Amino acid sequence: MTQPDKRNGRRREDDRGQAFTLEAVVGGLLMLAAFLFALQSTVITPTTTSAVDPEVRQDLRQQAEDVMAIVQENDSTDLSFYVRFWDPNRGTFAGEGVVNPTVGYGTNGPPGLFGNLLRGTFSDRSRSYNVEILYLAKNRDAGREKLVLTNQGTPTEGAVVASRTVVLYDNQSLTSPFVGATELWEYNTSGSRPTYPVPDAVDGPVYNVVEVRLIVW
Amino acid sequence: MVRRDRAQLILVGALIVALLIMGITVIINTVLYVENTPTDEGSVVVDEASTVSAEVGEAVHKSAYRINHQTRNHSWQALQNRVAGNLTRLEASMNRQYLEGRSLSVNISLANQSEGTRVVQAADANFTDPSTDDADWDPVANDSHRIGWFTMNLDGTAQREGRLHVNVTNGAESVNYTIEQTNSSSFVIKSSASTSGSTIDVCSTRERRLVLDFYAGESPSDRSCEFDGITAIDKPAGVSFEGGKNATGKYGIVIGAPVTGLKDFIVAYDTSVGATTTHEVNYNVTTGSPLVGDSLNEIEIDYSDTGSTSNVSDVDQSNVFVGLDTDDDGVADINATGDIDSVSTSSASPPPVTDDVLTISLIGNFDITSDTDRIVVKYDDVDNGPTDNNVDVEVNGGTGSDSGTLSLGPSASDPAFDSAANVDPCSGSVPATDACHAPAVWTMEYETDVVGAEFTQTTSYDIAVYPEGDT
Repeated sequence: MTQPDKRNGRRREDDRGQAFTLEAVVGGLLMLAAFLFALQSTVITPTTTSAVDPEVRQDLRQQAEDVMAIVQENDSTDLSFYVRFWDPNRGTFAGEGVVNPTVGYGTNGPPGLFGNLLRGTFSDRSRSYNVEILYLAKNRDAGREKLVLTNQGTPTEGAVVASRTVVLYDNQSLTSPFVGATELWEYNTSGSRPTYPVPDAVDGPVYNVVEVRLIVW
Repeated sequence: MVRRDRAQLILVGALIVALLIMGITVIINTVLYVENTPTDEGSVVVDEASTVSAEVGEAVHKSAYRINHQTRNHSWQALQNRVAGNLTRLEASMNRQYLEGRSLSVNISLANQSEGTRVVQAADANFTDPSTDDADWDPVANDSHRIGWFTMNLDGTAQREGRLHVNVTNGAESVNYTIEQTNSSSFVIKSSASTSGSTIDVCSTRERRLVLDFYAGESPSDRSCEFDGITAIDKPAGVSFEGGKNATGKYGIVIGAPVTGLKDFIVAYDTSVGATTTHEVNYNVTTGSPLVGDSLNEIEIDYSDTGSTSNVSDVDQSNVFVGLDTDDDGVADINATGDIDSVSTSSASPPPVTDDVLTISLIGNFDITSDTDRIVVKYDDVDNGPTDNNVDVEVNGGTGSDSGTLSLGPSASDPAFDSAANVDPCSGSVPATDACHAPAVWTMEYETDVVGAEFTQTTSYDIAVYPEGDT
């Protein structure tokens, strides 16, 4: 009479042992999954930088590209205009708001359409930006040299870049006021006080090939 | 006990279901992310390549325009060399930027270009006939030559009264322009095309000048100024002025091949003795020619005429062009250069001439479809030879053959153009004369390859080289 009961009791205990083991394994897996899941997530707050969110960076990059495209398509003040908006007497960019050759227009931003777009798109939304002009050095081995149109600080890790390449031609002139029709090739571009720092780096009608780079963060 | 076992099993089952849901969620998320991520990156790459291609295309266009305007004192060959040399330098300098700035490189390859003759009034004057001072006259006779770019630079300080009428026609259709100065800073431009309606616009001067681009129907000096371009009609082929004393300024017109009659059988771009130049053969496919409906397999150009000293030993496959002009406008519409299998030279004359026969073998994919087609063969680096001569050149192509005479002598093909003296034919003649002709690039076909780490984007351009924008 007791034999079957003992066998049944042992079987029940075996079943329970298996169930405990399964429960422990599954529970462990669940804990491990939850731990890994937690490791993958990051708390997003309003102050989180765009570095962690590719979508925010993509939006920012698109806005920067749009600003460059709008300025480049403008008839009277395109990017070439800003590259040539140079005051040969002061040795810096022309117009109001320019600080010095090191930071260009600094936090003021460039004048005209470019500046309005940069302020409306970025400054008003607590973003910062730099605009650099990288031109070909006269000496091919020297690579590229840089002019700063606007410097508002050091870009953070999440900064995005939009750039356009502008070709300057020998028969173009500076676009700043009171410079007359002097063509680019006529300026002194070397020495300690060049009247225009961008040199004639290409033979023929092309004067220089310049990259205008907008960095936003 | 049994209830506790069941409860335990239910708990384990619930945990397994929870794990499954979490796992499936993670997998679905991953799949969605993977699906989306490459698309975004791909579009960025495509956008960047398109931007770069557009930048290169614009640079080629603007530099070709400048070369046109800087090289009135060059021969056809020199002009071609300058365009080619400039493209090489432009490509190198743009690559210096792109390789450092974007890790991209670009290749620019010129597929074809056509040249026209520029008719210029190079200094301010009335728009009257330079020889008769007649106010009503035709700078380009009606239905004589195809019109390429056509620009006018008006002087706002002249303060002329009355109207200048400009008519551009193709014989059947026309575009009429009425230009009237209102004050020193504005002109009223009215255009009327027979193919559409009319427009009227007030165009402002910049620094007392108003530049009109009749090809595009706009003013490079006043972007708000728009009117009908000459492309409103098909193949414009004549320009006339009426009231030429009612305005002052300059003009430039580029004309192409004659509309009536075919081009000469053989043309040397520079006919000077001793010159190394481009020759162009225009092989007429006549009515009933057995070439029609057949593919062209070989073209043989034979300079071995008595007394000929021309030689083609430096011609090679890289500088031979073969095309088909299907609409008799002087420009090859179909480029068959890719069908060339080989180019060889041989000698049919005793020394001192080394090679005087050029043989171009084609693969056979180049079909002549109509008896109005014209085969155009252009090849560089032909040595005209040291002797004045009229050379009979024979061409054998397919089952047909034809011949024509090439005249070589001390003077250039255009009597007003003195390439040897390197003189600008349009300077020192104010007002211009009919003879003030100079070569100009008219159209260009080229390709840009934007090469990145994992992609190459090729864009083809077929442009008219006329002024635009801030040039």
